[in-house]
Amino acid sequence: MTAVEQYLKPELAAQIKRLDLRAQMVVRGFLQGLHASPFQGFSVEFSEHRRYVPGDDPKDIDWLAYAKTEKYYVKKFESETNLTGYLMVDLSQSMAYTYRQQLTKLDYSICLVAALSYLMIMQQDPVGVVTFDTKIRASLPPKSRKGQLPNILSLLTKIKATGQTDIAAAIKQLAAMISHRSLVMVFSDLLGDTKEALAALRLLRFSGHDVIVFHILDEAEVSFPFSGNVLLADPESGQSMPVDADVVGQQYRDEVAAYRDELKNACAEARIDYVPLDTGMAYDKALMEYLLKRRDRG
Amino acid sequence: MTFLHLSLLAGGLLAIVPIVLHLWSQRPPKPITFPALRFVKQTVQTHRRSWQVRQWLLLALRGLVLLLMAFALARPNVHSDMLATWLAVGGVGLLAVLATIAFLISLAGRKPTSVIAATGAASAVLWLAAFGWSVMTVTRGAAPPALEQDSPVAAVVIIDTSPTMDYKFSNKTRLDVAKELVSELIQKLPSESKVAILTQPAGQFALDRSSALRQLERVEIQYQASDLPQMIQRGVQLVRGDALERREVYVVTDMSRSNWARAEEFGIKGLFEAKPAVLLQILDVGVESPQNWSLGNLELSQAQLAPGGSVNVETTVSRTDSMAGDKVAVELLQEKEDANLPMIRDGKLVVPETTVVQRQFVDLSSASSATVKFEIRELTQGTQYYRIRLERGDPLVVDDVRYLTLSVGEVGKLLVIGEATEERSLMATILSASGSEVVDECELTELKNFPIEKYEVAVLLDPAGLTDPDVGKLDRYVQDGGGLMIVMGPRIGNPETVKQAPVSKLLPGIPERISRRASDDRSVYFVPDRPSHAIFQFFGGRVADAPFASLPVFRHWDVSLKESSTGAVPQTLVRYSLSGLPAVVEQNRGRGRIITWTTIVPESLSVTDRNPWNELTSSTEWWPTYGLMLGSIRYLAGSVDEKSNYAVGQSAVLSNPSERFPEQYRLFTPRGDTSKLDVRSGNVLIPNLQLPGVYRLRGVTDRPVVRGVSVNSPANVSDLQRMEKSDLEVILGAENCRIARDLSDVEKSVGEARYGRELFPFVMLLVCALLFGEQWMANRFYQWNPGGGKATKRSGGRVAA
Repeated sequence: MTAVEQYLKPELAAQIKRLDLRAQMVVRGFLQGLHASPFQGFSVEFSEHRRYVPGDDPKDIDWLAYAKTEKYYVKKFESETNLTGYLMVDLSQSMAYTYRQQLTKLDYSICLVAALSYLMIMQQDPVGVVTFDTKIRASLPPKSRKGQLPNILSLLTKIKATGQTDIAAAIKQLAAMISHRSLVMVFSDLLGDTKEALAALRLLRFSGHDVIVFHILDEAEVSFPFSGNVLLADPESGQSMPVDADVVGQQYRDEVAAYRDELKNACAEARIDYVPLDTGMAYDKALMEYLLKRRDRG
Repeated sequence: MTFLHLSLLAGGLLAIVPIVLHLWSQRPPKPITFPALRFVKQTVQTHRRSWQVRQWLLLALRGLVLLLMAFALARPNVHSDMLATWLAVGGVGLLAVLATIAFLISLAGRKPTSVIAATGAASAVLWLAAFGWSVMTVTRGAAPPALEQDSPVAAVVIIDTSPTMDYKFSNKTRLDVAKELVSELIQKLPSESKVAILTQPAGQFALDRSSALRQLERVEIQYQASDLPQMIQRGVQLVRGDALERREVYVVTDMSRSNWARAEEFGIKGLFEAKPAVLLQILDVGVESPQNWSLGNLELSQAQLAPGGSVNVETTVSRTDSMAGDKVAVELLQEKEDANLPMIRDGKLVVPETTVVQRQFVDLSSASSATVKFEIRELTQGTQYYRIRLERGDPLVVDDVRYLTLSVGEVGKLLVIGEATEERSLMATILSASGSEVVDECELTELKNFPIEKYEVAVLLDPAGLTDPDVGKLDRYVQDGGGLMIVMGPRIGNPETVKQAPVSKLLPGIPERISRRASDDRSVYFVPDRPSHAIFQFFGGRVADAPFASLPVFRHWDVSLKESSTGAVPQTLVRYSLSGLPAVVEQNRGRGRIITWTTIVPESLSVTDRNPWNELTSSTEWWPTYGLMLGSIRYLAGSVDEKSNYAVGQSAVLSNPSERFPEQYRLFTPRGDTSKLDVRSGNVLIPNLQLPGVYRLRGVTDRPVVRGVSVNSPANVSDLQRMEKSDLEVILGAENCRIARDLSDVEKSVGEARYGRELFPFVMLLVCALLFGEQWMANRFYQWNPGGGKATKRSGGRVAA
């Protein structure tokens, strides 16, 4: 793993205070790793041939062209520009949760949104950001010019987790706002009303949009690392419950896994991509999901 | 069931500790913010009942572990016979626990009603069975002895000292091994124990263990069968008579069968059924497959021996079944005569040299035993010592050699009583060939004043007109040990007068008549009736071949035999052919004997006034008659029985007429010990012959006199055939049949019988199983997932997959 690739790890990326740099480093790290992968080249379209000059990668030489012309040509690629992306960030109170006091779900989402925005603008895809709790709180229309990124980063640095959430309402609101086919990426812990949220996502999907749900949970919400008697309190609803963590642990983990499976199945039925994440996982999984979706669209 | 540390049972109260901890020692919960509370709620709703059951089950297991730990540490003991029962009860209890767990799990898991009912019913039945069975076992089963391990023991150690214990294996006799074992055993007994060492059915407790050990050192082979049943009876009596509560009888033996012959007589099994209880432990020091060649008892072809005669000695040679067959040489050795030996030189016994006089090879390739016979001819007057031995050595020496003493009687003075006829002279002439130095003649009329008691044998030759005093004198003579030969002829009288005559008191029956036959009728002659009798000793066992048929008898007395006044029945030694009437008859009177011939011998050739009675002495081939006459005289000369061969354990008695033998002897035992022996009432008594070999007497009159007897241990007592455990179980009862090969076996089996069987290991095994189950269940129940990245990653990875 190169030095840049290390920034795919959330705990290292979080050390970079400036969000633009952080996004840049994450994307570089991602792309660096991607060079050696079979995904190389599929993110851009073939454009034209040009004469080989010293310094070009010999691997890019088109040997068919050489056979025809007896001259060295290298392939020239250019990216697609017709994928409009909306990045929806959940601002509910639960998104501010972190057990290890390092990286909240919202922080994780912001970093991921920034990196994806950076990557999309690099790909010359128009990208916009929407934040929501019970309704859409802020929105930045999608644009592909380079000036869009500072706007996005500016928005992201300002957002805070506030109160309760109604993801279904927010999605419906966004669906009404989008006029042409787009890629909607939702960053949420989905701890609200799941049925309504799924219904809204299906509506979005049936409207012709591509949807990727990044289901972001805290590391502790997945692994349940507690022991002994604990009094668990939900910050969003204010409810609490005393449990013996040693007793509950395994069944809780099974329950969360079952919930994720349920979401995955429901999303698969609606041809929605579902990406389960937790705050301990590297960012590349989310970035890769975007690239795959982009390829499928191609 | 008893407990070694009953107080430790109180530790079972610790079982309430987990319950107390569970109910009252829960710490206040730590508040944690957790947005995913909805999943926790769902989990709790789903699994609350299962968790409760598991928690109580875990609690019950932990309590049970503590209870069982306390139970185990209290060291429960049960009677050895009840161990299997208690283990079975424990097994049912374990099944009940498992069934209860299954029942609770099915209850918590909301299984179908049929499953819950089945497991519940099974657990209830099993609990009832375990409880009922344990109560029944406690109330009806045998209880172990509630004795402390270090309480003193009244122990009787019976040591088998029979000849088979002399069997050598690994360069040690079985007795050596037994003594080592017993020594260790005595030293390991608790202090203040009492010990008695028994090698015979008598004895007492030793003063202390040291004196018991000293007594043990003196134990040696006794060369006769050990009467183990009687010794066990004595041992049980001894320990029951003691105040100590723990009573033990040890029998150290090589398990030879011959030592248990009298088991039924003493009812050993019943001995141990009585109270107070006595523990019997057998220590087997024998060898599983002994290898041994052995000689059997010696059999002589005749009891009475005469100079010039012969005797056959017969014995069997055997091998144990466990060894390979082979040929073996058997030798007959004779001791040289030496009037100056035995003597003690440099502290060692010096006896005359022996030489091998005969050797035979016995083939035991296929058979396990065979008979071997030696013929000893030309016996000379006096005492001869022989030895029959196996040339081949083996681990058991005692039965490889047998000792034999032959006392050939010395014929003393002889007297012929009768009228001064040619026949009397002829008789005197014949008798002079018997080896006697003195043969006197006596007129019937002089008999009244004649000192017949100086003569060893008197011949009453066809007497006529014996008076009552004469007959009384002759009767007393016989009663005192004299030998009398009566020859009935024509002069003794006619049947009517003889029946009434005083001489009839000496006859073996009633003379009915005189049988007569023509002088050319040769159909009546002597037929030996008891060919093995000593009077036929000159015929060397071939008396049937003697030509008695060529010696016809024309006249003889028909005597119908009758019992004497003492109830003795006369024995016919020779009969007449055709009629079967007695020709030569023997009768015992007091210490002496009378032999009666019912036809006259010798008969004068010059008889003219009557027909001859027979051709017994007139024929040219009359040697059979001669042999028979000499045999009769020599037989009568040895009228006082003198036994020369004894078995170990017997006492020897030798007659010791003062005119021929000294008044005092020195006794030499086979081991070389010497002692003085005085003559009492004309006899020498050698008491308690304990060792096989030759016991010799040496004395002096006007010349050195050496006498002796041979002693052998009976062949059956050196029989190495072992008792099987099943045989001993029949004799002792299965519960008393504890057989150990070494001290560790003894400690195990005696320990079990003393203290019962400890349940500690079994309970600890159960505790381990329950601990394992508790750990497994706790691990399943509380699957600990440490906080931090790794756990999260593993969990997340699994979910993502």
